[in-house]
Amino acid sequence: MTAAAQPLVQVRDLSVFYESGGGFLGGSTRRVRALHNVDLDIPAHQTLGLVGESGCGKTTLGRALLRLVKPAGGQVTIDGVEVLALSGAALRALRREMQIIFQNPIASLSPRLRVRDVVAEPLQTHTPLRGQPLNDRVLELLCMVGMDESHMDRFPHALSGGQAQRVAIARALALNPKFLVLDEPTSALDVSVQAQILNLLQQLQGQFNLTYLLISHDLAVVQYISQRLAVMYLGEIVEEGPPRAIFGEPRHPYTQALLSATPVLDPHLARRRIILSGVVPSAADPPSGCPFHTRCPQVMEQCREVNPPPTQIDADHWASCHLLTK
Amino acid sequence: MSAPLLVVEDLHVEFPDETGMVHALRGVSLTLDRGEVLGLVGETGCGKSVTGLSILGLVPQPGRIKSGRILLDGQDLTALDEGDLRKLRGRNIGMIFQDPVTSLNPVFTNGRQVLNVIERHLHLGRAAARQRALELFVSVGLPDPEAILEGYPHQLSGGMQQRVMIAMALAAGPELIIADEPTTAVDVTIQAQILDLLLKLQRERGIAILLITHNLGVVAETCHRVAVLYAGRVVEESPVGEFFKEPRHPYSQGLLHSLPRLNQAADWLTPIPGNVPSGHEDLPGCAFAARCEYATDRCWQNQPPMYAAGAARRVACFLAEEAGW
Repeated sequence: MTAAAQPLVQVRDLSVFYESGGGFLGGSTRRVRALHNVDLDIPAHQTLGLVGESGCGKTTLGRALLRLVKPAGGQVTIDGVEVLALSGAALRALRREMQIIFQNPIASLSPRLRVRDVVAEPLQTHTPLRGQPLNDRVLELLCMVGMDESHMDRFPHALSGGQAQRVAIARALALNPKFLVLDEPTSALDVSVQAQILNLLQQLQGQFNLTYLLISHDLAVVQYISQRLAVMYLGEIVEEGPPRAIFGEPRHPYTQALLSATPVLDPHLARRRIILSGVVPSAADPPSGCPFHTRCPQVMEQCREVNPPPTQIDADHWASCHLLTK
Repeated sequence: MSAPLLVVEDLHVEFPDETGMVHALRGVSLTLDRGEVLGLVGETGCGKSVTGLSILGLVPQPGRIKSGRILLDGQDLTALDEGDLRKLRGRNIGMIFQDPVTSLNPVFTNGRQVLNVIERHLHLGRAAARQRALELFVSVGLPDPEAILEGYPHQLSGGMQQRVMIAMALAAGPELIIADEPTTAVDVTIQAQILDLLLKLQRERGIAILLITHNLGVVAETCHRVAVLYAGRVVEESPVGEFFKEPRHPYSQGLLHSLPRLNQAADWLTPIPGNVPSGHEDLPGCAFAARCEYATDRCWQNQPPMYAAGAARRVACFLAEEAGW
């Protein structure tokens, strides 16, 4: 594997703001900073795992890449195409190349459509396939995800969570995409089913040369499936690198706290727990300086004023923390 | 050794629905000692929450306890009427539910929620009750307790709301707390705070905790013993150390093997094949037989009893007999 290969997805300086409040009853609007100057590369045919706690902006990042939310600024390039500049037919064409899998498979499938229609819909929208060839392609897709003809006429409510997630994956693969955003794809599933879906995602990636952005709060899931890992806090990526480096030698204090707070399956393992005090600050009123300084156990004076730039630790590992340049 | 605080014996709970009867619990047995933390684990629909609700006498209508006994300090709770159960809930058994947002009443102040419990069960004057509420808020680590006492739940974060719930559960000084997925709705850094708090309270006050969770990592880090539930039956009950080192029941093994682990590279996970049996099914034999690689004819026909496997473990599997655990 060559590290110098051109990444499939390139993100530069991406920022997203949401307006909240105001509206019908008036009142003042608040500007919520969901993403702040995010830089990210996702190598082709690999998985980048994006971890962080609720509200940190990981879902917003996934959606901004697919143009499901509108960024305030920055650049997103997918397979050499500048995504944010596209509109109309060019954007529709690009949408075939990128798909998303959501957390709750039952809720993300229309309750009125049978499995066959769920999977056929993108094909009818984007391809001329109709009749028997369409039917054949739908069945082929369902077989790829481990389902069969007997499931084709069922409605989503008659499927288990794992089966519904398989249907969502079949639908996402219908147009032979290159890039998939997996947004907590197994969080709603039981562990025995989670393992089936993770194995399936791995297998399909190899089979179709897919590139994944895996968004998850579960560090073990992310480690299992990702070649690279990015840790997010309050709309910023604070550390990025290969899982081995990040789990073995986390350098950002937030990554260290996140890892130490994650329960492990060994009651005998004595660990130094870093219990963070306080809560994540509001994204409507982000702190000055480093976003983590209000909870950081090792906070210094400069952290309150200056947001630390990314510091290279290894060829493929960096973190944004003043401790690294001290 | 003193008698256990809680004994559940062969508990059967069923819910009628339009197509027949759903067997939620098919004979759950477990024990909990004073001051002990027992993890009750299992996947969706295995009966974890129904077990907790049964102990509290809160099985939702039209469900009912069909048979079995629940002994708290030797007293059979299944024989009590609603009036007696009301006295017991909160006073002897505290409850913590998964979602603090829906479990706290939004129109009452945080202080009022806790005062309701204190006033119902303890006969304290107004000033003393308020003082107790304040002390509880301090002991569950709520910052600025005076202000939070006067404030409302929606002004608090999820983790802080869960602390208010814990203060409510502690308010009347129960011996047992049933905590149903207490950290599932919060982030891991907050989860660590809440679990630390529960363990601190358990140590300081000697409270026994029945911790209902789907998260085996949480069990490994907080519980003394674990009971694994599958399709409405306990299949293994064990001290956590032995359980994670060497799970005995094939279902327990399957669960642990299907989990990705930190710091341990694996190319492939081993899922448990097949699906959980439906609650409608009659299961004359072992409920796990259809998914078990060791299953024999005997497993399909007869329900394995709980075998003792070592001093403190019990396993419902014929392998215990055959392999002589």
